[in-house]
Parts: sequence; C-alpha cells; structure tokens
Amino acid sequence: MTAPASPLGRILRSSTTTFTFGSLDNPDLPAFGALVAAEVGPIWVYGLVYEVVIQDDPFVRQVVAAAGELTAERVEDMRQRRQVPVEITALTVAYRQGDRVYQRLPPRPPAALQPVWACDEATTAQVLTEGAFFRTVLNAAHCPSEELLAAALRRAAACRLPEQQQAYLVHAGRELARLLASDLPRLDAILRRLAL
Amino acid sequence: MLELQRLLDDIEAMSREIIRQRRDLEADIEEGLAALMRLAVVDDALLDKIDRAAGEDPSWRGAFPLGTRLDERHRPQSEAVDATLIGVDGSQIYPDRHGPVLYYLINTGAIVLRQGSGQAPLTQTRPTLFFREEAVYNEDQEVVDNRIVNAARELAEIREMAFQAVAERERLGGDLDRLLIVLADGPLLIWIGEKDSPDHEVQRRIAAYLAELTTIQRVGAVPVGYVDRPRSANVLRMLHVADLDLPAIVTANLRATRYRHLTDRALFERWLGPNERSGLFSSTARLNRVDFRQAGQEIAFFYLNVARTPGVEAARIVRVDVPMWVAAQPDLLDRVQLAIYRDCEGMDYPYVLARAHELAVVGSREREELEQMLTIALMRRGMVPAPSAKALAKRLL
Repeated sequence: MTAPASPLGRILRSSTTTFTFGSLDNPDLPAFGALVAAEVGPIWVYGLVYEVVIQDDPFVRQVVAAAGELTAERVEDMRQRRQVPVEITALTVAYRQGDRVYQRLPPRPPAALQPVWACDEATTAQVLTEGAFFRTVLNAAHCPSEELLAAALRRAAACRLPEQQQAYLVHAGRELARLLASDLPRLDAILRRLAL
Repeated sequence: MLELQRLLDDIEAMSREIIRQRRDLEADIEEGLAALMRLAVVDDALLDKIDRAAGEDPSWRGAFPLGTRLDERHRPQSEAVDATLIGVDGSQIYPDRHGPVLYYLINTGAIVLRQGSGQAPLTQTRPTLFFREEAVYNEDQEVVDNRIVNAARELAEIREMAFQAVAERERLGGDLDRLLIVLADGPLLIWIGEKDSPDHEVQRRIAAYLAELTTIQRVGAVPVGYVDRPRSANVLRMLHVADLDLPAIVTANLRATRYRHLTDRALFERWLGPNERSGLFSSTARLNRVDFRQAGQEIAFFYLNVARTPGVEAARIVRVDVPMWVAAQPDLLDRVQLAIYRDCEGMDYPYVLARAHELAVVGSREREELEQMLTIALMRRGMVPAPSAKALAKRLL
C-alpha cells in the first residue's frame, strides 16, 4: 500500500474485530465506509470506518453556549488544538501479508499508538475485490451493517474504471442475493442503498 | 466521617452570621464609595500621607494614585483592533515525601491567538522535572516546601511569556505595528516570602524575573497580569489613610482601617460599568518602588469591569497589572484594554488564559501515569520504589 504523507490518526484501542483511532477534527477525516489500514508487524490490517464520535467536554459546552460570539480562531482552536480527539472506529475486514490479501480476521490487532492510514483507490479496489468480507460486515451486530456494506461497495466501485463499476456492483449484488436468500427485506435494504 | 446532624445548629448560626456580615458590608461599601467621591482630588497632601504610611509600616500595602482623580472611570472610545494575545499559565506537582520517589514538576502552557486571523492558535506545553538533590532538598536537608515550588513556577511562567513574545515577534518578521499582549494568570508583581530562602536567592529570583520583563519590553510586547476576583484592598487602605491627619498616620491607626473586611472589587463593582477601567495606581510595596522601579519595570494597576451587561450583580471586576511604561501611554493602554475585553467575550474571562490553564494543568491521572513511568524506569535498574505506609493506607479509603 502506498501510504499518504501523514496518518489519519493513531490507534487508541483495538480488538480482533475492530480498531479505534484518535484524530483531530479536520476536513480530511475518513468518510463512513472508507477503507483504512494499520500496520501490525509484517502485515497490514484493513478496516471499514463505521463510527465517528466527536467528543465534548465542559469547555466545549461553555464555548458553544457563547455561540453568538464565536470567533474563527476559537473554533479552529477547539477543532485542531485541544486534546479532545475525534474517535473513529473501523470494522476489520481483511489483512495483507506480502502480496496477498486475505478477507478474514487478522492474526493480531494493531497495537496502541500505531498510525492509521487512508487507503488509496488502487488499494481499496484490490482489498474489496472479493465478496468474502460481506459476511463479516453483515454479522457485525455493533455497527449499522447494511448501511456500511452499501457505502463500502459504492466506494469500492468508484475506485474502479467507469466501465468496470456496473459489473462490480452487479457481481456484488448476486453475491449478496446468495447470502441473504432467506432475508429478503435486508437484501432489499442493501440493494436500494447501492445506487451510485 | 462527617456527622452532619451534629452541625445543624452551627449551620443555622453560620447563615445568620453571614447575613449580618453582608448587611454590614453593604454599609461599609456605601461609606467607601462616598469616600472615593469626597476625596477624589489627588493632591500633594494625599501623596504625602501615602508615603508616610508606607514609611511608617513597611508591610502596609496601599494604592499610590498615578492620575489626578481617584474617582476616574474610563471607557476607550476607539474601536478594538486585532491584536495577538499570548496566554501563559503554569501548574505543578509538589514534592511528596510519602510518594514512591521524591521530585517535583512544573508544567507551563502557552497559547498564541491572533485575533482576526481565522487561524487555529499555536499551543505549547513545557514540563520540567526537578529531581536532583540540590533541587528537592534545602540547605537544612529538608524537603523543599511548596513556596519554593511556587517561586520556581512563577519564574517558569515569566520565562515562557518572554520566550513566546520573542518567538511571535520573530514570526511577524519584526513588525512592531501588531499589538502583542502577553497575559499571565495572576499579578505581575512577584510574591517574595520573607523566610522562604536566603536573601541572595530572593535577589537572584527578582533579577531573573526582571530580566524576562525587560526582554518582553524589548520586543515591543505588553506584559499583563490578569487577576480575576482580586482580593486586594489597596485602594480602600489608601482611602482610609486619606481620611487621617498626617500626625495620626501611625502603625496602629493604619491597621485599624474601617474597611477591614472589604475588597477593592466590592467598591468598583458599584462604580465601573461594562468595559470601564478605574484610574491607575501603583503598589507601595518596597519591591515595586525599589527593585522593579530601578529596572524600569515598576508595576501599575487598574480595575476593569469585563462584564457585558451593566449592574452590580452582573459586574465582573478584575485587576489588570501592567508595567509603568505601558501605563504612561494612554492610547496603548486603551488598545490593551479593548483587546482583553474582546477576549473575555462569552466567558467574562480571557479565552487565552482559560486555554493556557487547560494546557498547563496536571491532573491526578497524569500524575499517576508519570509516577508509574518513574517506577518502571527504576525497576528496570533493579530498584523497587514504594509509597509510604501512610500513602498506601490512604489509597484504601
């Protein structure tokens, strides 16, 4: 994976299935469904962003209470400088060892303070090529799985050449139909959210 | 364990006493206000009385008026212009002889906010660990007390103020047009304990402090001591002296001030409207009149109401300390007042000082983490430090 110049943030806590990293509030925060990665020794762990939590505290509440007088400098101070990070959580869906991508849970989660990187288009397209990660997302009870899967698929399709996007989505739709043959309302909910 | 029911009678008595004191205070405040207006003209006779009081009792602290009237109140007529505000604050971990290791820590926090820039302010913290024998033990081989740590923190704060002022002026490319204000949370006149250390040590501290103030002046920045909820009564003590005949100015009479339980704040809450400042005064403390004056850094002060709405209940009176070379420039003083008042918007307290405090403060959790790190570092070298039995027992409660 080609890493961007600076990481999105650093790991606060992690488990085998999810990792949470802290970041400052800025416009480059990863979107819902974006693929992010963290290095664990010789492997890269990939996750889909499914929760972004912006913390508050008494100081923020006091500043907000004086909203009529908020200056740009105070807003930027609150967003960029204060030690109240935005917490972003990703669902682990795959890992890479050498040149091979495995759509299954990694042997180990990322360690605390490990940098987390945004994945570029080529990496996203490659990591999300196969449909084995669908079940990982659908089985994740702690996240909005239908929304997340649809967002990830739309993003993975957008990372492909225009002429390949439709085919990718059709292939994904067929795979989903197979997985959710006995749960048509859920299948319908995802397919309706797949439109690019 | 506190048995609250045993205190019921005392609580009743206490509330009655507070109400009675409050009524008496109101009467004293009215008397003080009347004196402020009755004795408003500053003449040689008044100044002689103040000098006599300061000479008679060196511990007497009064306000020496720098203007022509005591009842002056001033609201700048010009509009606020963008200034750069630097807030600096410090905090500390005091040495704890019951702790696992003996040390103390000083942490300073600084924020540089450029009004009107739309940019995020710059922030910085600077922790310093004091652990060497000569730092944690005094000459009698006793663990240094909190006053020594406070003095070291005070010095660290003024150093940080000077450092940030120099750095910001450099970032401005030496442009002296931009108003640069460096705020400290507390007085600009340092506190000198009489018995906390030998004289030469105090002198060294004063010299170091004054050198930093001079550096701030050299880069054209304005140092400001911002005292929220001031408890001083220098103006009231001066009013008491003004009412005495010159021969009656003796120590016993100086201490028998009629305004004993009042503060200047209570007086000016009823006198100053929003964004109004009092007249200028200087402290009669010897330190100010000798050491600071000789270094060209004598401190003047005024009271300022930083509230947005008029009225006694809404008033927020603060004391603002500035060097005399700032006080002597009315236009500059107006710009400083406007910049501070603007930064108090929404909080009735300077935003930069609130943030500097937040940056500087060391919480109990951070202290625990620091001590864990120290413990681990020692264990790696084969030593197992432990807190005292008393400290351990307290943790169980």
